Amino acid sequence: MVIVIKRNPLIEEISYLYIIIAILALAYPLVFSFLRGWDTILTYGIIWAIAALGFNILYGYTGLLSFGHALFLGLGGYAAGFMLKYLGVRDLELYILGGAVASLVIALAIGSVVVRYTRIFFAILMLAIAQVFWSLYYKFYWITGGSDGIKIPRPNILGIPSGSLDAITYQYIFYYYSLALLFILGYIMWRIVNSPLGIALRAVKDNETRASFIGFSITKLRLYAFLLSAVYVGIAGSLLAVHSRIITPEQAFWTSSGKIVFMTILGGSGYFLGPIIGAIIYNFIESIAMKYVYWQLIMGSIIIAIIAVMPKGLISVIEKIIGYREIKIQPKQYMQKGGDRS
Amino acid sequence: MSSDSPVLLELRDLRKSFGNVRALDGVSFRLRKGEKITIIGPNGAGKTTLVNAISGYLRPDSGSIIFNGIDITRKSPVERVKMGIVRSFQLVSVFNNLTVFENILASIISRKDLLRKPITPFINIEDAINEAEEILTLFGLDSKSHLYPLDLSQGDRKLLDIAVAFALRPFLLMLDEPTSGVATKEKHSIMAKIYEILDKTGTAGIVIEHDMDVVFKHSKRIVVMHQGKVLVDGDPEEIRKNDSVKQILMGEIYA
Repeated sequence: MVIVIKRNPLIEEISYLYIIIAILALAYPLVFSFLRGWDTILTYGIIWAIAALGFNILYGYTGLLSFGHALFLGLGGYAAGFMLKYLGVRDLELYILGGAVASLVIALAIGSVVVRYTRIFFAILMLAIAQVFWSLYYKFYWITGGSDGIKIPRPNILGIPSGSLDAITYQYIFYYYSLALLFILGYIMWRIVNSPLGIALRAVKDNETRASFIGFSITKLRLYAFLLSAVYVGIAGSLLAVHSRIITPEQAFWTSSGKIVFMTILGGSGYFLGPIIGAIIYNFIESIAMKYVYWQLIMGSIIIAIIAVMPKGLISVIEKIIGYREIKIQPKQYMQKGGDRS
Repeated sequence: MSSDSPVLLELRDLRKSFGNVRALDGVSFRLRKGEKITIIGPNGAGKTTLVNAISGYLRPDSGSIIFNGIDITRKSPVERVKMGIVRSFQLVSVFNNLTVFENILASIISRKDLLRKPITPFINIEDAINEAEEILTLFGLDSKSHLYPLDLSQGDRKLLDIAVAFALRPFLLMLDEPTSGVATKEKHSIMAKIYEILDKTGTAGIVIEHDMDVVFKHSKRIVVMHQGKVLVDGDPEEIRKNDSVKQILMGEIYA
């Protein structure tokens, strides 16, 4: 059984993830040499990309829009902060682990309740919960440092003491470390969205009634997606705090949640790679816009323009360039390559 | 099916009223393993109510439903699906953003409980994929497996809808007007396909159908319903000769 079909390689093939990672790997030394100052922005882009990737399993694949994922950015950041302040931990790997575990625990605690709601109810409920945590970081200032936050000096990476590295080497190592994490987490996410779980999540998003009718447990599937996204965003939260060298309540504020939503839609939530592209480009646009007084106005105008002109996100430009391809394929190969989702 | 195969489904005096309307007024019949019946009757005869009662979407006021020797009258729709009673609806309900192939696969994933293990992204699902291919071939949709449902003809969408239900491997498949909204030419081929598949796999079937040409051409046993009661239950020849059926059914439709 061989069939000739028109496929969209951008969605079908994991190779485009490799290409993006390769481009990002090559870009850093160039940016570092010729665009001083922007290298930090690029590192931020990578970290936010991890967050947006996790966010999109919930939004793009499962159809649950959360306005409160800064909750997990905050948890990841404060996990790192508390580990340093109270346990004297100085290793990046442990921060990341701590961020992931803290997010997972809280997500488990609230998840089984929140995933019973959908659409605007889920979005607002998440916003409210995230704001509660944000206010706790302020109120319990003797633990959290209040608005001053907790300073996080450069931690050891892969057991290499941070003191033994000069600033530039450390920046390089941190960048490639984050990029490697993006690659690993991206690969795992790719496997997940193309597995039975991915199909089930998309089925739930698509037609909830029929999905439950063929025997899927809707709330359980939504919970899986919720936990997964929490872990990804938690990891990004730890990295973000380390890169900023401080964790303040602002990282857990609703504007951070909005940022994740913004970059995902900017890149294209209907595509696996959309959030990654969106996150990186968003950080550059934001840095440029922030030089002006009314930078939020600029950002707002940009998202309106993008939704009007490119409703599928920035990635649709790349899609147009690559185009659709006619390929001969067998269903078996098809599953190994992954499914389409538009 | 042969008359000595065991009874799969038994309805005992099912009754259901909506206000003053008696939608089911003492319906009783038996269905053997692998047997197929077609239910006909004028609008409001209680056909869909009957299917709703068997699939668990409606609870009858009285009477009982015995499936495989177990009283399922009080079981939930999902429990009944797990026991092997699967139905389709009058309107096509498939996953429009999943390919034809993935639509089938979704059913198989659910039936095989492939999501139970947390390491699901890394388990081998070769069996499920092979089975999805088999089912698509069975329904003649194999050449369309990578299209999206909205790219299919209405007839193929109907078939896909039935295939998604069939992929749950039911003992009893109930189809509510599987050919509604389909061109006459396609009706016969869809019906032939459905009966062929049910025969081949030994699945019992309850089909609601309006088109008399289709009914008499493909059915072996016909149950005529009228005002919530079973009027006649027999083979097509009997039904054709029955005067009251002529009056009620043909009169209404062809008058």
